[in-house]
Amino acid sequence: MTEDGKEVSDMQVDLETRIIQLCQQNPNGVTDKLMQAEISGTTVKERAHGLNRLLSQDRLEILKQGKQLLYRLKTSDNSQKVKGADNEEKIVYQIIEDAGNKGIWIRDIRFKSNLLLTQVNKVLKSLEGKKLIKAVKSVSASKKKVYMLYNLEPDRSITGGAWYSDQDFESEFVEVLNQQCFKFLQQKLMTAREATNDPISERNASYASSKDIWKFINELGISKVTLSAEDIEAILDTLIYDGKVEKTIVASQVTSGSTGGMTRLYRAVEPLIESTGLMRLPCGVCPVMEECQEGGAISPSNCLYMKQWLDY
Amino acid sequence: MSKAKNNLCSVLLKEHFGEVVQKIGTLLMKKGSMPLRLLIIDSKLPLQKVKKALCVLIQHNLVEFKVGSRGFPEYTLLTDNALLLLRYPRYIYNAKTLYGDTGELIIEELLTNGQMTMSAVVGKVTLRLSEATESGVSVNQVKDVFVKLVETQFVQRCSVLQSFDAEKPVAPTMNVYEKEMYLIPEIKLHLIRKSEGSDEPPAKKRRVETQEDKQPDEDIYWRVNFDRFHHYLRDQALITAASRRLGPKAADILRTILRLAETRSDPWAPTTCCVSQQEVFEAVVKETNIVKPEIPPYLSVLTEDSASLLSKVEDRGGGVYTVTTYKALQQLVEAIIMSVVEDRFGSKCCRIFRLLLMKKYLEQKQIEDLAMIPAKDTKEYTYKLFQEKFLNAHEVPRTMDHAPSRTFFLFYVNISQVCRMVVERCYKAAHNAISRQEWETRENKRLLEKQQRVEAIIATLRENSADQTQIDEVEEMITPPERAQLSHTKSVVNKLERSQLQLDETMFILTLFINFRK
Repeated sequence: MTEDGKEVSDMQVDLETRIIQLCQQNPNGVTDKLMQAEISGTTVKERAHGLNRLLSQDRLEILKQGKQLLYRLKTSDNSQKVKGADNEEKIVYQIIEDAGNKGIWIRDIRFKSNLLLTQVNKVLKSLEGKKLIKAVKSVSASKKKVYMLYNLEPDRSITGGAWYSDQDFESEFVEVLNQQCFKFLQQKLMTAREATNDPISERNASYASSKDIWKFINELGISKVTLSAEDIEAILDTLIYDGKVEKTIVASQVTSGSTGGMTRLYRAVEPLIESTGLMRLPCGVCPVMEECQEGGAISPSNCLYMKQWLDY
Repeated sequence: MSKAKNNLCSVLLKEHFGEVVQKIGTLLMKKGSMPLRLLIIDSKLPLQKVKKALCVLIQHNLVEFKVGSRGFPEYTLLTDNALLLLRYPRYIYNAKTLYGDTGELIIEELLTNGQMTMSAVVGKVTLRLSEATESGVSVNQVKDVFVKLVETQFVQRCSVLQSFDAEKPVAPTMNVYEKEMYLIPEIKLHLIRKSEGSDEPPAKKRRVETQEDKQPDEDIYWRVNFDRFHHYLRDQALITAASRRLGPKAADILRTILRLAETRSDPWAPTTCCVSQQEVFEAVVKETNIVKPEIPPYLSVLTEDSASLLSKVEDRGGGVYTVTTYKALQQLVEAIIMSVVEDRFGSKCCRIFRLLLMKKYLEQKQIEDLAMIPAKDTKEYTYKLFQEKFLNAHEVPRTMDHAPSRTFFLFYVNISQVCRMVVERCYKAAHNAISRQEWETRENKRLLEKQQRVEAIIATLRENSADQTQIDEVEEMITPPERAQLSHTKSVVNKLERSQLQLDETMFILTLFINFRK
């Protein structure tokens, strides 16, 4: 840049300052047409030269709006951060910045920047050293690292939310919460049954809103991380899939914790049947049922499972 | 007809009617319809035995006959009816709860004999009851119970001979007249009473052959109406479910509504006919000790429950209700299948299964997120269920070449397929239980026979009023280890019999659902 600087004529410097001024006046970007009208007395070639110089200095950026090109001033702090870095670093930084809090995989950086792997590695290392970017491990694939800007909070899809610690799914934690929520609802059902004879009030008393359950879990203090009401609802949903709980949604006054004037209510329910007849003899769970044949190696008369069950 | 079903039918026929009938039955199952000639050739049994076996099977409504394409009568085994042999104890038990000992004995007689005339049933039951109890029961009482059973359609007339061409004796046509199905014929009670008094009733009947002494219902035969019993058993299953879910009072109300609807609607329609709130009020107050103000809350709880046993179809007159039998049955079937999945694969698998049942189509990743099970375990569970055919996968390719890497695999549950699969397993399990029971008795045959002999000796000794010491001596012929073995065998046989009944309960609900879907 400094080499060029010597040759820069006064006119060109003048042109550049005018372009920058124009861009400062229109922070949303300047079209080619507008530029032509505002900066009179210059040829297209001169303007293009001036713009190119500004672009190479990283003071302007080009955007596309429909078929038109827009020129905009680059926000100063970004260009400040990578100041003193070479072009490659700038490009890589740009790519990582675009990826936002979802992060970007090293392979994709390579494809987008068209740089060699070794080069990219070097650049990433230096950027990491400057604390401009950070590497985050993704939960979906444990070996996959994604890069994002240093100050960003990783997305839920990367960290997995409250249920993950260091990319591991905390299945025990979920299990404990699942049990505690069910215990709470079951106690509620029991007290409701004892309190009243009227079936409607019994049913209503056995309901608990997700907010109540959330409070209960927080007061229990089993969780080190703070759980949101949505997290508790996810847990309660697993109880529904277990067939132990049912859910209804009722309209309510808009309060915090309820979405759009709706409160989700949960209650414990009794299953419709006890374990079914088939499962009360060993054949129900027998893993070698297919091979079981009278007169065969496995048969009802020499069945070990049957013998143990009958001797019990 | 699957192999498991045929095997089960075969062992059931053996258990109830012996080996000859089993042989004929198995042959008919294997070959479909067959004329008599071929049956004799294939079974290598003498004509008399085959004929007799067929008679037994026809008597019990297990074989039907019609003229085949060649002009010979052909016999076909009704396997579905043969499977009901497993359910006989339940019919008898339910008759007992409904109509007491008399009802129990009537149904028992009809089941063991296949079909009987009314006079014969009444005579036999009266005789058995007066033997069992000191006071005895009058013929009239027994007849009343029989009439009640007919009125409630638990017992119906058999088809009657319509035409029989004596010139070309091929096969008679049998017919049932719907009007006469539940018509009570005249019977002469005094004849039964008379034969009851004498010591040799059959001999007496043979002697007097005058028109006066003949029973007028000689060619009207009765049999148990299985369909009606199934209807009753289904209602019982719904009531039990309601009781578990919402308590005994809700169950009482549901029972009343089912009973009110039962007489007027087609029993196998997806919903019963409508019952108005007023009717429910009157009937419930009359039959149970629930007071009127208690009823509306229960009705609303029953309709709003997620098991959807009852539904309100109209608002007029305070509400008109129907029992949504099909939906309720589906809930029961789902509960049964859940229980199967849970007991076989664990509660985590059950969670995945129910999740798919609720959400219909899901991808592997979605299952992981919603079920909140670690990805690795979810894969294991899902593939296990898939392998055991409880789940199906639907492929949605993104490109034309169906490459697995560019294809979505959506898992889903096909409930009727799973249902059939579980029924098959039930058939096999029932077959296994019966074979095991047979094997246990065979293994201990000597011991069981010895016990019988000893008991017979003791009985005769008691009759001859022998001393206690003599009886004790005979009793000691069975050594303590033998006694322990005997009690063990007895408990084993009991356990196996109980499990057969429980298996049948599962099968009953599942087959009912399959038939509903047809």
